[in-house]
Amino acid sequence: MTLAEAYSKLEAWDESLKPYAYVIEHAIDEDRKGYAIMQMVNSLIELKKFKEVQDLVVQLYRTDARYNIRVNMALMSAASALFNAAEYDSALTLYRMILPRRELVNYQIVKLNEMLREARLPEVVVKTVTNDTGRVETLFGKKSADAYVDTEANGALSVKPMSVVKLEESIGSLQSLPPYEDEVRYRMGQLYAAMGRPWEAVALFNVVSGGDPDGELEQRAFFECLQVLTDPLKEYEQVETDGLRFLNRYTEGVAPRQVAYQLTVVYQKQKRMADIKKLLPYIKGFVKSDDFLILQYECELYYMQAVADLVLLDYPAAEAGFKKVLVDYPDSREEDNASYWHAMSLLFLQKYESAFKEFESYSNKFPEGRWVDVASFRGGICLFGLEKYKEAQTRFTHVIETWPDSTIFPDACSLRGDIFGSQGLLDAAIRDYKTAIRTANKPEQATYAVFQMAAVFDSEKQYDKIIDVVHSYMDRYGDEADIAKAMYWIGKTQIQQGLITDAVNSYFDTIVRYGGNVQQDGVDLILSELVQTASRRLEPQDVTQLKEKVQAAISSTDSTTLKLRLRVLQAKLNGSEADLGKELLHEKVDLNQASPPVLAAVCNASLALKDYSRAAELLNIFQTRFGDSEFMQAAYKLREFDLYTSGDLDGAMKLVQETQATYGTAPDVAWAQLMKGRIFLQRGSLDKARDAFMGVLNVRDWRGEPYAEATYRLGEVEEKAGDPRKAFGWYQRAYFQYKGLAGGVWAADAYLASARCLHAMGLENDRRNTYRAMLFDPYVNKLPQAEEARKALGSEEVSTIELMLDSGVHTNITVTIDGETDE
Amino acid sequence: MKHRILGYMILLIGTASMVFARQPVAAAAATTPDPEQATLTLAFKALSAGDPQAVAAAAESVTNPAARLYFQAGAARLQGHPKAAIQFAAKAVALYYQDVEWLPRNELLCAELYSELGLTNAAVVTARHVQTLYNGTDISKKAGALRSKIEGGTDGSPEQ
Repeated sequence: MTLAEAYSKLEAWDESLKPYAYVIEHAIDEDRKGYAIMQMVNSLIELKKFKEVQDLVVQLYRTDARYNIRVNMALMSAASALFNAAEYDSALTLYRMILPRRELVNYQIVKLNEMLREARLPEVVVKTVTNDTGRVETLFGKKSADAYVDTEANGALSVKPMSVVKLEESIGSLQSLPPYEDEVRYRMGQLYAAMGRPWEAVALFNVVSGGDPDGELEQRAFFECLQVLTDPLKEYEQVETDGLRFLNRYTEGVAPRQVAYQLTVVYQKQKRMADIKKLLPYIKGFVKSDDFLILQYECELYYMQAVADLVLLDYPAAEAGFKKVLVDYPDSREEDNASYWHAMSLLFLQKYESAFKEFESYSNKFPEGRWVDVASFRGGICLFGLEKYKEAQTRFTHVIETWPDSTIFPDACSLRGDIFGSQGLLDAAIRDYKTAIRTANKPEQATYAVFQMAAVFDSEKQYDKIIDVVHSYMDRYGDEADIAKAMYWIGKTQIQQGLITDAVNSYFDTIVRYGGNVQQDGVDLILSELVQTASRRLEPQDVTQLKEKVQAAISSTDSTTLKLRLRVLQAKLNGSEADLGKELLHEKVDLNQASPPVLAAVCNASLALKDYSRAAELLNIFQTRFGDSEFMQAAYKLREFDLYTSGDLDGAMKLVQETQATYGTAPDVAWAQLMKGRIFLQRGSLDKARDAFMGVLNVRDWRGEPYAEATYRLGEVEEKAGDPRKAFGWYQRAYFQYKGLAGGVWAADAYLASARCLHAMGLENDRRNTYRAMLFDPYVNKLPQAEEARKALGSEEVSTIELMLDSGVHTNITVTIDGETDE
Repeated sequence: MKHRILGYMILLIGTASMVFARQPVAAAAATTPDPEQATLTLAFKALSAGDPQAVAAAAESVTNPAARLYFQAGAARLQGHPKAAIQFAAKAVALYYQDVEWLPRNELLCAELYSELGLTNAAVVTARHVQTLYNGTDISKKAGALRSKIEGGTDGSPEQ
């Protein structure tokens, strides 16, 4: 034994086997034999001779050595080693051999009593008394080490045989051992989980965790039970119930973090991101600790919180969340991911400058990182957003040349194609789009390139090429293709080729087929195109037929999204969008079911009713879900009016700038420029206000109502500047030139403002003449503003004017002063 | 892997194999007035008859915990609750693994219930264990047949 142990201490495991085997074969003492077995098992485990371990243990199991505690301890070691070596079947076999301590003790007691009977000594009954630490103090009512036993009635003592004393000591030691049954059950639970028998694992973990609820092993078993219930059992409801109950009770140590982690996993699997956020108060309430494992779990928890924010499109929260992970848990294993997603959050927030720096920092810090190619590409997008097109082009070229096998290679090609396209280098653009289509890993990558290419062909009037590229795309991707968008382009081409009926039928079918999916933005493109085609190219009877088909489709569909889309189409065909918007507001439709044209209708109706209660929500829906939609400007407009009305001029100006950066001087966004002027006017920045309104008059696409309002507003600027004469000039121009626009509203206001200016100049007669002219003016004399003129003139004169109007009298009352405008 | 655990298998379930071979429950019930055996006989009959209420009632009177769980699982299965059933059977396997008479039955039942629950991997893993551990018994053959049915095409013989 000494030789064997010496070899063991020298870690000469192979050499130790022979002397251990000798001891096992020749030892008379069971304890010595058991110890040798245990040591030999340890040597074999070190040598990874698992088969020999198992053979040895099985061999022993056939003998009474199985009741030796050391053999049982050796079984545990061997089973554990087999488990760690993924020898699950063998490990399970060994674990099942381990006897409970109670059974070992019972066996030894029987043996002891046999020895006592042979020695003609009284048999014993176990009466265990333990001290505070659990150590056995008396086993049979007396100290177990007592060498004497009271056998005589007169109190004389008999000497116990040494074998009895030793066995009593052995039983005492066995009783004093910490309970190992739960450890075995826990390990078996892990084993069943690893080998793929989940309900057996759950049964064992449940038994273990049902013990001391505050115990470390118990809490570990509880967590691992939740893991198995999650995967593979998918018992999410139970995990949620048990997990939340646990979190409501425990806030300290690693277990609550593990449970919160598991709940997060369960919610992620069910895509219940909002529920992940509900865990945050629990996480924040955990008692702080510097323990490494706890910090690791906390880092993961906060990281997954930020991921949930990102998925929920709450970019500011995601940005703050990833930053927290980076600042509070430096050098964590999530640093790579958190750095990248922090930069992405900034990109989503359109903070291109900061995002670019973060992506650059990522590339420098993690040159071998998992996101290095993507980060470089995203940096290019930031440059694009910063309108540094040349640098963006260089960056995309770098990505294309450096990572030809990357998943973002096709995206880099597409975006470089966009830059070439914007430079008029259409051949280069087409070449990049074709490469993107050829190398696309996902349908979306091809989708983008295909339709960008279609737009190029459209600008070149190469309709056959559009048809070729779109059909080829549909053939390749089948159901995964964006069919609605493809049909939009095919229909557009058909219209160009004069195949109007085909295009209209195809458009209508596509709307009905794909319009139930709110994300199918191709349907919205079709909707606009169909309305235009109907108004310009269809005969009245065909329009009527189309309207009937739309009505029938509205009646027959159960899809809220499709119904809403069809109602918008119907309203556009009938010219009743404003009424529809009001109806939708009244119905309190679920905005999450609404596509961009529907949302725009709600925005427009809200603006008309000056109902700003959902303005922020509407803009947020657009920004987070339909950021590229052309309909988003309706939400910008509503929100800007909301902010302006509530006095948040800075907020309103910020959105104006965003709007103008996005839409420039597009025909239907003159309102943004007008709003800019009004904000300057409100702030008293009269020069800037004047420039802004003059800016409207300088854009030919804004002729019409925007001109009318800008002219009137210029009058307001001068009036506020203390120059009523100049102001009068603008107002007069407004009611002379634009009375036919906007229902005469600007003209009516301009009449009244002119009268006000004339009054300020002391020209009372001219003021009254202005009122008279207003009441004779058929464009404005029915409007509410005319009431002010009637009051000013008095009932007698008003009656006279009305009689004259009734008898068909027309006047040419004009007020001529030296009014001037600075156009 | 099989050869490694054969020794243990023979050791641990040798008695059980004999028990199955001799159909001890019926035999014992015929020769001894043991109330537990009588209850077990009753429970088996109810199980064969597909009467969940009778199985559940009989299970209440069974004192052997592994046997009681076996019949509770059987009753739940007959009532169309395979998930509840497997929790009884799995508990028997997990906690009463030293009961060599009932362990094989409960393990086979687990394999079948895993299959019914659509947990195919677990069903195959468990069936393979049963097939290997109790090689040479009817239980092993049934496990082999179950594997064959799940995996489709294998002969169901124990792995070599």
